[in-house]
Amino acid sequence: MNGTGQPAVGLTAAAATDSVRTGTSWWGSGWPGSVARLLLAVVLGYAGLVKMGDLAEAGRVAALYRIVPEDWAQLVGGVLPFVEVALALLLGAGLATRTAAMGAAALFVVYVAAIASVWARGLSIDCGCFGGGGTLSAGAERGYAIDIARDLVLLAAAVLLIRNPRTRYALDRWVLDPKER
Amino acid sequence: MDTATNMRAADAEVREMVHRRRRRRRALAVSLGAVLAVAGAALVGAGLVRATNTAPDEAPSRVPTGAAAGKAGLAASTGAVRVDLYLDYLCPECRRTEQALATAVQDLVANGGVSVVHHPVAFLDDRSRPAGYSTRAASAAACAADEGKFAEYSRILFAEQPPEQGPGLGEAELVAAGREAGITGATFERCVKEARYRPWVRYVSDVAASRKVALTPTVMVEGRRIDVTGPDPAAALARAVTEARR
Repeated sequence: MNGTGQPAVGLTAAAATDSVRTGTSWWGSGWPGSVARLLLAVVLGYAGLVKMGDLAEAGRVAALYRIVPEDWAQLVGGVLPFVEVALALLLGAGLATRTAAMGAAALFVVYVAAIASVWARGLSIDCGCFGGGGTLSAGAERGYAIDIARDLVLLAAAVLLIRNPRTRYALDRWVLDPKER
Repeated sequence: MDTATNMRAADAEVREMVHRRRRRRRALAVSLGAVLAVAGAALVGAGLVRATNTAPDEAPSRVPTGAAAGKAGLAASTGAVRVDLYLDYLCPECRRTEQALATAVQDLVANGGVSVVHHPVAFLDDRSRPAGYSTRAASAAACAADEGKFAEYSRILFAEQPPEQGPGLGEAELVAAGREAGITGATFERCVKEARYRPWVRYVSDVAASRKVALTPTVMVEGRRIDVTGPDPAAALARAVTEARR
């Protein structure tokens, strides 16, 4: 797999010692990435755990979107929380950051598309993003806008990590750059 | 002099290359591990869904009069063509469907040849405050079935459907609805008060979920979903039944 976006930049940085980095700006310091990681880990972890509490409900919410056939909705609803929590753990630990961020980005793209599609079809539902969810009688559109905006912010955080997956306090540092020299 | 510097530079370059290659290999391994971990988590979720779906609890010992074969519903009539109705007493769309289909279902029951099975499911328990109105209403409806008044009682519960996120109808109101449906005697009241059919409602809901019924209202003819969200659900039902009869 040659999916590494900017191998030249990333690997030169890998070769550099940490002391070199102290000279660069805050943006290049790895701190924004750490913040992004933490944000994604907290939101995904919370969303996943809440939904795990009631998988039947999660399946029902997935069916409400009327995107996958009802027969498959329970499976989708049951699988998503576990994927979310797995990604949250990886991002929280900073392990395989780029891969995990790609997974999270894919997830948010799907979520945005799903909500947009529901909105476009004029359905009135609560997204169930953090558990619960259901049919709404009013105020659905405002909810859609907020949900999409939130997902786009999270998507941006994931993209930031894909572009520069080297962050502070990440397990990746220990695993990928052990002190061998 | 010149060659020495060159050699040192080349040396460093080689070391650098080796380091990079090692790092790339490790990064690949870690990524692969991450992908596997996420896939594993997804499998756990899928496994849990399967486990809960394929094994609904055993049917409870106490089921209402008129329970269908398999006990996961109430048989209003028996016949060659099977019609299943999955409704939740708190679901607003179910109210619309019930009212649109009431006459059509009555005709199917009266004219014979069709086995109509009602599944009073409780999917929306967390949408009342306090939670659990769907279960309370469905279990009261099962009590009404004991008195032979399920259809009448259902109609009243839907007509008086409380809004979501509210407390729902209280015990006294559920009992009063029974009197409205023509139920006399104290057995019904006792049945409602002791929530006798709560386990049965749970069972009906679990079996419905295991049949991949995730949403209410769901109406099936011979196991096939029919669209009851259109302008004329009764016509859609009649058409599906006629087709199944052929």
